[in-house]
Amino acid sequence: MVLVMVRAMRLHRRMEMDMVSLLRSSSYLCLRSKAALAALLCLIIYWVVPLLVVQQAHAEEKEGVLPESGIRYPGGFDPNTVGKVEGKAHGCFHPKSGPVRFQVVSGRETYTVLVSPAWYWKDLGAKVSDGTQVRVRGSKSLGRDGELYIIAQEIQILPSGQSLVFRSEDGFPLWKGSRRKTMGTHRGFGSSQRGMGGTRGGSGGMGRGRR
Amino acid sequence: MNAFAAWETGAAAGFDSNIDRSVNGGESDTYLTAYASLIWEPSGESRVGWSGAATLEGTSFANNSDLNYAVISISPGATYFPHALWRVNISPFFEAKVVNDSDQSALAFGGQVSMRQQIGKDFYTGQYYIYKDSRADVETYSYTEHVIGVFLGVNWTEAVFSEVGYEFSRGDSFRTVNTRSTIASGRGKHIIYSEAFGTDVIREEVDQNAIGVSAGIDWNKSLFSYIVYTYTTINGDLGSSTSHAGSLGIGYRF
Repeated sequence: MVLVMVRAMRLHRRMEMDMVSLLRSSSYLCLRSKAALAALLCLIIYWVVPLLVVQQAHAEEKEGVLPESGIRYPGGFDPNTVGKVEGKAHGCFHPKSGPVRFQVVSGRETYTVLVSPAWYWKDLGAKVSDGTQVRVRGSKSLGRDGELYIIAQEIQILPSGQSLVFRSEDGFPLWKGSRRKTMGTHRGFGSSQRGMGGTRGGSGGMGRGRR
Repeated sequence: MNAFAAWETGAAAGFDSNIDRSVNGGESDTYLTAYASLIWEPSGESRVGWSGAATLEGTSFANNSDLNYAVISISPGATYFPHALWRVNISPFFEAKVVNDSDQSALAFGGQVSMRQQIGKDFYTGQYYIYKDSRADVETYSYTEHVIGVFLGVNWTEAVFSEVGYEFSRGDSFRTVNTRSTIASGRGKHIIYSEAFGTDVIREEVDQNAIGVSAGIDWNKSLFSYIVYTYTTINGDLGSSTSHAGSLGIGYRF
């Protein structure tokens, strides 16, 4: 009888110890999760938010106006003013920042053609020397300097038949890359159960991790 | 380096035929998910620019509410254009996920390298590699993995596109089993009884193959919708399992 009671007391003691151990373990996990979330919050506050503010500010700067014409670049493309200009090109200029530009004399009018960043122009193998006959499709506008401008969507170099496309139909600049999200970027594939932001978001891929 | 930022939000409805990653058939479920992202893209004014995203997402499952989760992910990165038609992205990422079944709540970090090539006006291809280390509250749900993938896309019109892709990954994964007798002991295996799945869960190293197709429509500059289907196989010591997953989503860029 005494032996049974001793065993029961030992069992009870062991259960108490297990409970304490379990509670400590749960508290530890809870604390660890909270600490991790707090660390993430700090990361967001101290690093991401300032970064985004800088990015927004920089975006505004990049969407600024060209000083001489007052035309917004690269966002000044207006699909409602799209037209064509054909004539002889001259004065091709590759600035360090801002769009490559040249002039086209078409009848009695002279247009300044605003194209793309120099690196994109170079990669497409575009060469427009003085006197080259070109056809430009793009968005026309009148600059505040009183000059005519056309933001190029497509340029055809008539002697060679070369056609260079710089913007999509709705005017999106192709040098920014595709605005579409693909499997390898953000939209991703797979089930919401397969992690990394689920059905979209995060860093891509079909399987998207294993949670 | 330069970039521009934009907000995006969206929602999707989806299904998964094997949410518990069971080797014995599995349970299916449907879900609704919604997200908001701040995305920054390179301006393209030079060959190098910033890119990345910060995303907050919530997902709710129709049957198994224990799997409902919220996740915040941040992936700052850089983009390089080696050529007008070739884009390379490199980004680390951080992720915090809170799951109703707190065992599965996790912090993750990793990195991704992806490339995309435009082939003519209508075709594009891409490749990516992802490394991810996810540390869950309970070790069974922790994992590291290496993922490689390729995809091919077609622009049918200015607004309509479709993609097909293949992905292979190797790493740890939790899997559910009906009876403990099927569980073989081994290095790196962690076993736990899961209230969320109502069965034993074990972590093991697996190989995963996935084939996916997607199609999307850009309704205008801001509004887009897409449909995605993925077939996945997972192979490990416990056996093979498969899943069919799909979702139908809509999004809006500000």
